[in-house]
Amino acid sequence: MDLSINFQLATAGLAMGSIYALVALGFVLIFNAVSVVNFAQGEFVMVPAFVAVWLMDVLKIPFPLTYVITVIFMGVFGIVFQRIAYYPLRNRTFLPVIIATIGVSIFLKNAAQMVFGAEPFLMHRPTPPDVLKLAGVFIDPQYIVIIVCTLALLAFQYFFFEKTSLGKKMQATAQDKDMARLLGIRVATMIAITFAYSSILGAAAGILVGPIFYVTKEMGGMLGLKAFCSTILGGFGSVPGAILGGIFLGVIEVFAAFYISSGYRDAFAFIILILVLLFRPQGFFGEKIAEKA
Amino acid sequence: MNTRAAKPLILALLVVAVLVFPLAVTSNYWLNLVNLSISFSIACLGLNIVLGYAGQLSLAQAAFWGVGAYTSALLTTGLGWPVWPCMLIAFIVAGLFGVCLGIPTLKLTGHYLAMTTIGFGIILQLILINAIWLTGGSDGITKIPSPWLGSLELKDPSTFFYVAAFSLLLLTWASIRLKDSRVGRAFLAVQGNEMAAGTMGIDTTVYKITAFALSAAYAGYGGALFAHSGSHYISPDTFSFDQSVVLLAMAVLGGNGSAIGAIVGATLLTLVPEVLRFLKDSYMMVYAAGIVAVMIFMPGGIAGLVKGLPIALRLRAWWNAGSAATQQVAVSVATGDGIGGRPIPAKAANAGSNGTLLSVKGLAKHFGGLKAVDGVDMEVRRGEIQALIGPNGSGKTTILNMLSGLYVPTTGEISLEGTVITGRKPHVITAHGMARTFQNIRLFGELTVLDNVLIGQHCHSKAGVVPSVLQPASQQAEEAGMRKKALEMLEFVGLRGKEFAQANSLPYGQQRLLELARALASDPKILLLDEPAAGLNANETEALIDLLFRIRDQGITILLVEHDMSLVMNVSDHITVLNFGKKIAEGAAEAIEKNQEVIDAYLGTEVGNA
Repeated sequence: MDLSINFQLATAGLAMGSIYALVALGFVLIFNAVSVVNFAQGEFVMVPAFVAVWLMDVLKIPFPLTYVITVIFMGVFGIVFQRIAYYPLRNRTFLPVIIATIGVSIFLKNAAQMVFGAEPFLMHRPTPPDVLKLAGVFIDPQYIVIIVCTLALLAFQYFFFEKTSLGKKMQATAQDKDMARLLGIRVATMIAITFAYSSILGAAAGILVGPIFYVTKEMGGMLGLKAFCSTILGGFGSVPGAILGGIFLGVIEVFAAFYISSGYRDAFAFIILILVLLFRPQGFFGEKIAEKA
Repeated sequence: MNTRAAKPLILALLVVAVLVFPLAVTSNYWLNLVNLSISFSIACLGLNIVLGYAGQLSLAQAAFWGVGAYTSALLTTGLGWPVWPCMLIAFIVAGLFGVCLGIPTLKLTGHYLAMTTIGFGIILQLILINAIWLTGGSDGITKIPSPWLGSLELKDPSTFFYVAAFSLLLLTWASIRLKDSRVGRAFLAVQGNEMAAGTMGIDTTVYKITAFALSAAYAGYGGALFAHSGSHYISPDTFSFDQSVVLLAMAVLGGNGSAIGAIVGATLLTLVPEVLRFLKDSYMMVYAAGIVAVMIFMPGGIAGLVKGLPIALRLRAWWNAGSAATQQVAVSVATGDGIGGRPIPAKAANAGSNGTLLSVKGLAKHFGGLKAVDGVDMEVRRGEIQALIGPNGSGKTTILNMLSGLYVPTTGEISLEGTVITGRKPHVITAHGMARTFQNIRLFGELTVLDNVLIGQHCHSKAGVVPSVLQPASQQAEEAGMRKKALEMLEFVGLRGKEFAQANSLPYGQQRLLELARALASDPKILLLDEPAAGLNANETEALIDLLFRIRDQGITILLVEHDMSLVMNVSDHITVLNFGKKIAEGAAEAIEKNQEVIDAYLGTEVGNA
């Protein structure tokens, strides 16, 4: 096989995988904090993409400021979201919560269509539009932007959770809410911050993926589901698992679409998921899923 | 009015209502919508079986709906087969796809199950789009024929309505009958507590797959109705994940577990968007907000709201008054049948003969580095009460879990009456004659006392899906026999009069008794009791001791884990003592009480002397 093609595919796969990893991280953080699977996670990517396009195209706000505003917007968005779809249902079984998050997801898609119309948008690139040519290999510069930004975000997140007091309080809340409360941690606030942060991860993913995908109301749906796949592949609840699961899935998907079938591109993630659950249900970094007697 | 007399009348009224409906609603637009809502209703009835009865989430229902639609459409357009048999084939083919989904999801619950069913649905939809040679791809299938009745083509929405409505009546009837039967109880047991269901002799694997298959088959039939009506056109984008979500929302809106609720939910969510169309662009937003609001403000769905109303309570009481169970219980009280502590029919093989019933050799269970049980040998003699004691964390419950099949031992061998049962599934072990209770009570709390004990008899009864729906004389006789025995069990433990109480409404002590009655109902040779006296007051403990002796007198061997030492010393013929996963002593009660190692294990040794 042509080596340069494989190199190109690998770059695209890593970029896609980085996006999955960001969204998957959002999933896992929310799940760890409140045991809720958020089916609107994909819309956490779609909404900021629209917001950013609107800021750039309509208000003509320059790149850096657009990004800052979008991130702040999504932080607030995450807090409002948890107030509506999680907080009233916090003491209920997982089924109503799942359906409520799905309800919010349908709502957001249709709201986006109503506000921005049904036409797809293409987000401006922060880089020159020319394709880079490195040692005979063509690479979309946006892929590099995605990979570098994701790495930077992960480094920031590591620092935040391991080295800051707020990050440690959030971790304590995720591990044992009652104990955290007894220690004087404001659990409800920590949960709200977790949602806000998860939503900001979505903002990052939306801003990064916008220039290579069309921005449409449907852009988040499949992204969210595949990110969810990534979390299960990595081992549900595991932060490194979500990241590696996402990158693994992105790379596999790009190669499989190229070498096996592009029509079934969206199926590979789920085929791998079902196989993994059949043979290694705990994922790569597994949580135990059996009930205790 | 008597319920039995009323049933044919209700049926007649329903039939008349169906016949008259197209005369009352003449608009083809609305009739087409009603036909569509019936197609959705049938898919939701299926969802109600897998989710409402068996408690397994499925987010692939639209895909099965699509499998049914495509099966029937392809056979009729491609091969020119007549419509009626093709609709049945759609039912069966979708059911087989349901089995395919059921198998990989067996060990999964919660979000794993949700994700797998979503993935399965998306893969199926992608196949519909990409397998162009078979499905025609994104273009879909056009000109799907209508069914014929003799020389009459049922093409009008009004004539097709009869096909749809009578199908709905039949399938609703079947799913309601199924719920109150051996199969339905097994589904509900799997939902209520899967672990307890297994130890009650229910093969949870088989029942979960059956639930997925039935659910998919219903959806498939609904899909076939969809294909042969309306626009007579289908394409892959109809059978999407979003549609699965809508079907789920319909079932949950109606009220999880209620067949009628599922139909009401499906009808509302089909018709409401039409009513909301005046909102133009925002109608889908209002619809979605409505779904969220229902989740927040109506936890039990519509069925949950209606259930508490006085009229609904009275209707239910009137309906239940006619049921075979109510009448049998009433008759048994009137005639004194099953009253006065008639003995449990003891196993002939159990009575009299001595020797080892249960034998355990070198049993070990390691969780990672933790050796919870580490090479225990133990024998339980027939007809005795044996106690298994030890400090907290010594491995007692772990042993019970291995004996009853919930844990697979790391090494070692367990044999019951000479048959090796090591590592067998819980339901197989129950069928061999071992029953158990749990330390933290695991009743099927939402079900009645009577149903709990009936579930205990699962492995000694055999009605499958078809007899459970059709209920021929043999099935009715089996049910009557099971109820008779259940009443005897309730009499034996002292719970007569509580037959129709909800299990989790009983006070704590009675819940323990009910768990015993449920275990006894499986005709065990040996009964494993995990801390039966935990949480009981002194009087209740007295009664429990008396009950334990009565059980032993019926020839049933007992293996008991208990912390109440006076109870243990009082009832046990033989005691085995564990500490840190190893056996440290065994023998008669008096010997154990004086054993220095046992005393040290419980009270600890002084560090200096150790």
